Amino acid sequence: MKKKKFYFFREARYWNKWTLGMGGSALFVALPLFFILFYLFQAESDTWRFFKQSSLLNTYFKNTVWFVGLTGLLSAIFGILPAWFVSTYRFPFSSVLEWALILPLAIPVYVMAYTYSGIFDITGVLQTTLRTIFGWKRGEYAFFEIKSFLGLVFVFSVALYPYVYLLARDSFRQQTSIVLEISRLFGYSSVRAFCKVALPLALPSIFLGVFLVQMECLSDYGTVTYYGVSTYTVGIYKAWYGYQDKNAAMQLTARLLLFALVVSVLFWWVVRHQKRYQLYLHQFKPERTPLSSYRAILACGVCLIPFLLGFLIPVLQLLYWMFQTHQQFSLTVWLPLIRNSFLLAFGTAILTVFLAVLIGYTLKIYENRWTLFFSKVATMGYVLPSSVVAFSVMSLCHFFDQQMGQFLSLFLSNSLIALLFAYVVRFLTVAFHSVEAGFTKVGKKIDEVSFSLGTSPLKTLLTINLPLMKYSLLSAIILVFLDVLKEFNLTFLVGPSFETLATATYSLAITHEDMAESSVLALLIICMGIFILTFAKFILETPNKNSFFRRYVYASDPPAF
Amino acid sequence: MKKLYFLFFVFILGCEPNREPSPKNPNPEKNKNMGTITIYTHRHYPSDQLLFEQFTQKTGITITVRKGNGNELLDKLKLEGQNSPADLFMTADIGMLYQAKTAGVLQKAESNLLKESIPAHLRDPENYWFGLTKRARVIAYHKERVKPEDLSTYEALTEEKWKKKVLIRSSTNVYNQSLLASFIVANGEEKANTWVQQMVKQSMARKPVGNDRDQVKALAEGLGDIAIINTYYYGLLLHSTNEQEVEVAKSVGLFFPNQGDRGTHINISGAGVTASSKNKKEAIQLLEFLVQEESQKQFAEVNYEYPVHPKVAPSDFLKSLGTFKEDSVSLEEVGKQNKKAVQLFDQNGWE
Repeated sequence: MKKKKFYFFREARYWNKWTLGMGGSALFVALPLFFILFYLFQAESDTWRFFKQSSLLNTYFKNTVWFVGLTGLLSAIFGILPAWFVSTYRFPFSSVLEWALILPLAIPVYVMAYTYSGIFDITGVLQTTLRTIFGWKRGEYAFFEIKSFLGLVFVFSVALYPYVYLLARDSFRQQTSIVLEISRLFGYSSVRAFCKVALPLALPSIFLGVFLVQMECLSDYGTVTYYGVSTYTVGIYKAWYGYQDKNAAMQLTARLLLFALVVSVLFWWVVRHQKRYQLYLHQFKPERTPLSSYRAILACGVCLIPFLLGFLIPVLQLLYWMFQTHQQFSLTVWLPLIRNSFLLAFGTAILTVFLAVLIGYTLKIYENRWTLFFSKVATMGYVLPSSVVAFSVMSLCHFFDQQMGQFLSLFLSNSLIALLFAYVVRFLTVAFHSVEAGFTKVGKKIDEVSFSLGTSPLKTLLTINLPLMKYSLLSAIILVFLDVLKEFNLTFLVGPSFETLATATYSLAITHEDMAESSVLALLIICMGIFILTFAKFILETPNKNSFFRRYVYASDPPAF
Repeated sequence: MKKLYFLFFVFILGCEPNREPSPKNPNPEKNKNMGTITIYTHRHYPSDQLLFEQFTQKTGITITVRKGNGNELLDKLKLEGQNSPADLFMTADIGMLYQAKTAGVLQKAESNLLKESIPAHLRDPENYWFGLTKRARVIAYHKERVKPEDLSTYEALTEEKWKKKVLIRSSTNVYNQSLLASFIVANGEEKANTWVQQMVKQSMARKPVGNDRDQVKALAEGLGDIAIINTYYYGLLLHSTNEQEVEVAKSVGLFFPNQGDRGTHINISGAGVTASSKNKKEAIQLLEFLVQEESQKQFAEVNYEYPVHPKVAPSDFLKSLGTFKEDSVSLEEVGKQNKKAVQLFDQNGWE
């Protein structure tokens, strides 16, 4: 049997300026990963042997598998159902909910966790109200303890479902009209059309969203320990700081990384043919069917639940705490924080999207095993705990300083570039998946036409691809922006000692081990997130005078927010 | 045109890092009159920031603060070695200070004022690190369900009467690790191991979850009768703006265990001068500032921590807790056993 070859799009050669450029930048971003994987080849330490012998690893595996699995499932439910309703039907509040459902991304996960803990506590709003209404006394009734395994699954699902929601919604939107029309021909009810046609077609995007959610679950330490669940990452930290064995910790991390890589490659292998069956029909304008009374209420309810749980309730509680603790509004304190947060987040967003476009486009036009390898290896950073990323980046900077810095009198340690590099390593994943989805939407045929007319790849990228994927680009920028806004650990360790909104919120929260005092700062982060989302919505929804956009882009690809 | 703007924007951003080649000046000679020191600290208290500002006003020395997690900052110090810009390393636990000393990132700081202001068991005998504040790990009991006469020592918590009644947080927390380390020093590894075993098997009311404040709240919920917490968390609860939390705190009393033998376990929040410090004199000045009486008073008033200075009177809140005999074992010894403590926790399944 002839060995199946990848489709060499334009040239048969592996190496040209595009693949070299992409390979170079991908390998550069992947340097910390190679640094970690390097530890796989080190000798075993006592701690590592202890870990393997004891039942610790088994406990960690069991907990992690259940945690990541259930969270993936719940966030998929929270993401898919509203995404379907919002892209197929029209019901009260559907246009508002369409972008409001993304808002939970503006809340850091640990803030969500601490806030819910505060709500369900014996001194929290919920129990206090119940005690007042029913006259119960403290200590005489049993109440649900949210700081448990199920509570953790709930908090993570409700905080991270927007990743699944966004990707599912974009996928549904592409297929909605044709799906419904053809399903009607077959006499399918809308439920059957959803289950048999729309959902399977959207599965690759949904799995990608779930993968992002699960990676974020794996990389968390603080929230997981607070809720009393010992996951794999807890093991990494225990080996590192409890047993003071960096080797063992890196070995554990390297195995986690390998696992994530394997899953990523597997995923690519399973869906690689499905891209041929995607319907990217730019000329169809999705029509949204209005719903009658009780169905409309049902749809509205289903969409309201994630928004309520993931955004409204936590924000209301934070506002309550803000007033309760008489927080002082001090612009002199806040402005530097806001400025630092904004500049770092925006700068990283632009940088990551630039890299994502470079890697994604090269992958599209030269799909072969090397470009695939480069793209996979550069987008694994999201699964790593931020302390590990920080340590790897610091080690690399130190190595550079020792070898070259002294001669050039250029030091990377504690520099801004180091911090931006650390952010890029960690968040390129998020930008890449969004940008790649955009490139897939544009499709290869249009590139074929362009090349056949003699246009260079660069010009095709800039004049054809990017304008057509305006919305994917913007959503990539937004996602990275929000993620960097929430990141504090990297900011603490790498780069100059910046104070951002995220670091200040975390400092106050960890001092009191409570969210009440840092509620106003957390609300500032959320406000900034809301601001950037509404800004994006505004940009996307202002009608564009350019007729090319109106005809091909605006009509077929409505606002992402 | 738009694509050109996009490219231009990206180009600008690509250029920007080069405009700022980020030189690191190991010797900031520009500040000849006023020095500048850098602190790596695990403490995130806003009151610390106020103290630093007071110091700057008084001496003209500017302070750059890098906050973070003590363990990670220690790794950073070790990595940076002699090129580290840090002058002081501050932590909230003895374990980290001991690890810093053994890793060789601290240097000796000779100061008579520090020696006079800090009791011997709260600073390093070789002057590598100094305690700045003290906190005790005590037993909180529910006033209605437990009489203080029933309580005696930490070790007695494994007795039959406390079956499924003790609330305590995770073993990943350094305060618990230091507590167990002090047991190892006092009673030996075997007895400490048995203690952990008994606690996990019979005394603990539930799997460890939450932080110290959550243990007190669980007391109020009726999930247990006694909890092990640090003294300053009780202060935070008692002075909370949430009335419910104040009521919960009032329904709970504090008991200082082991008054009959070695005394209650205490831990310090302390600092040491880094080996890479280029501003040793200024760093010691800051340390001396932090142990003088006004600063110690501030620690007590705002954070509910015990001052280390023997002549500083504790705040009203601390006075209300009463005086107690503290475990005067050298904290150096306690720091040594931290790793062993983690091992014992893991061997017996204390998560």
